[in-house]
Amino acid sequence: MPKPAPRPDKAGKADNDEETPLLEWIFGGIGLVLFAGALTVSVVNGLAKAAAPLITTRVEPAEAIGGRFRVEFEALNLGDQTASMVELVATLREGGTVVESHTVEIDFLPPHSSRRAGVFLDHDPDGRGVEVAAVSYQHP
Amino acid sequence: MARTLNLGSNVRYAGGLMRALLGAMIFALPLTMTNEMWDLGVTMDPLRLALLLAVTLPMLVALSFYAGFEATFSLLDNVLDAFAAMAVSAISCGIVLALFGIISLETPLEEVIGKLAVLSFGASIGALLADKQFNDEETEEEDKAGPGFGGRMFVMAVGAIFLSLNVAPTNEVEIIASNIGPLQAVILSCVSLLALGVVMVMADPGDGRISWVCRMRRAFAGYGMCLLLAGFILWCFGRYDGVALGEAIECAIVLGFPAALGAGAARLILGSGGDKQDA
Repeated sequence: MPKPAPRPDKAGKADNDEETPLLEWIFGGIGLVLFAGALTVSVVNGLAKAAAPLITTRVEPAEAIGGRFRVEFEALNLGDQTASMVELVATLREGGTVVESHTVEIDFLPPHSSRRAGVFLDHDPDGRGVEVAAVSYQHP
Repeated sequence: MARTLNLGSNVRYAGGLMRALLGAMIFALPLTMTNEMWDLGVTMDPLRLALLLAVTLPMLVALSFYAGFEATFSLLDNVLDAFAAMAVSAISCGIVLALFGIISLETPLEEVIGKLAVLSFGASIGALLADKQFNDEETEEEDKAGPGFGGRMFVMAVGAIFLSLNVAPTNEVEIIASNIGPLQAVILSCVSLLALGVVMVMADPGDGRISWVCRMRRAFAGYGMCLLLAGFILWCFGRYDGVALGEAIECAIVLGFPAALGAGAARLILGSGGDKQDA
């Protein structure tokens, strides 16, 4: 319900902005900057032409662990749109033959962001190389 | 200027900010721990997010007038408190998300802004309701003052947003909407309307001054607003993208249930003053 008429005795201030506590100006200013910043970024992003998700990967060296081989990789979305349910396939090849293949799913990959994931291989990838490629995604 | 730097008034304001912080956290903590809410920060359409932010500001200014975390005496006071509520909410949500490892220094700025903006929307409402949550000091003047129709609707709208925000980001709204048939949707709608009407009568017994026609009109107006707000929130959150009209209406009815309860609760908590019968 509406507040009553000014009562300078309750909060120690009256209806004159000169009597507004300094702390109120400071936090009001911080809020204004955050609000204006968020609004500006949102509008600029909304009006900009958004490129579709473009997902690249960077594979790290394998590490022997528990009798198997762990390979971690980083998936990076170079596009301007978020990709969800990103499916990546990690493939270990020898010559032209596929030795092992595993699928990894990443829930969300925001634009210009990266997520880390990994696979466990039964065969030592040393000298053979592991390829990780995104094969599908959904729009959130 | 002397009062601006006065230690006592600044300390009192700091106390108000602490109440605002508590209010923001009590409302926003469940949301900061909700996966769907984090996702919304990156999946929500930026222009809809901007619209939500733009709508939030005048609502917070009005909320500062009706509730607020400290006594205010001018429009400037209310505007400053609305921005301060945003600041407190964004900072506190940012700290909590960082503590949970949801954001870090490596998180892209756009993602941080999106997540904080989505979470701060609800937290700011909590911050400005802090005084009502933690301070029972109400003057006789406040008890006597009754809000007009616009004021009542605003108070109810805040309550509707407050409660439905907890549910809107989740998938359960769509799941429930797809599970229920048209008849169940109608029943749910009637139950929501009845619940809101009963709470509105509890909030304002009226001592026989208010006719049943007037009460029904108010309940229908309140519930209609709840459905519109539910639809607006669902649209902002992208829940209506690609959804057929019938399903969209059922989703609004599902979310309209907590919205109606929130509206009624807000009418009880924030607007318990007696009313005059509307012409």
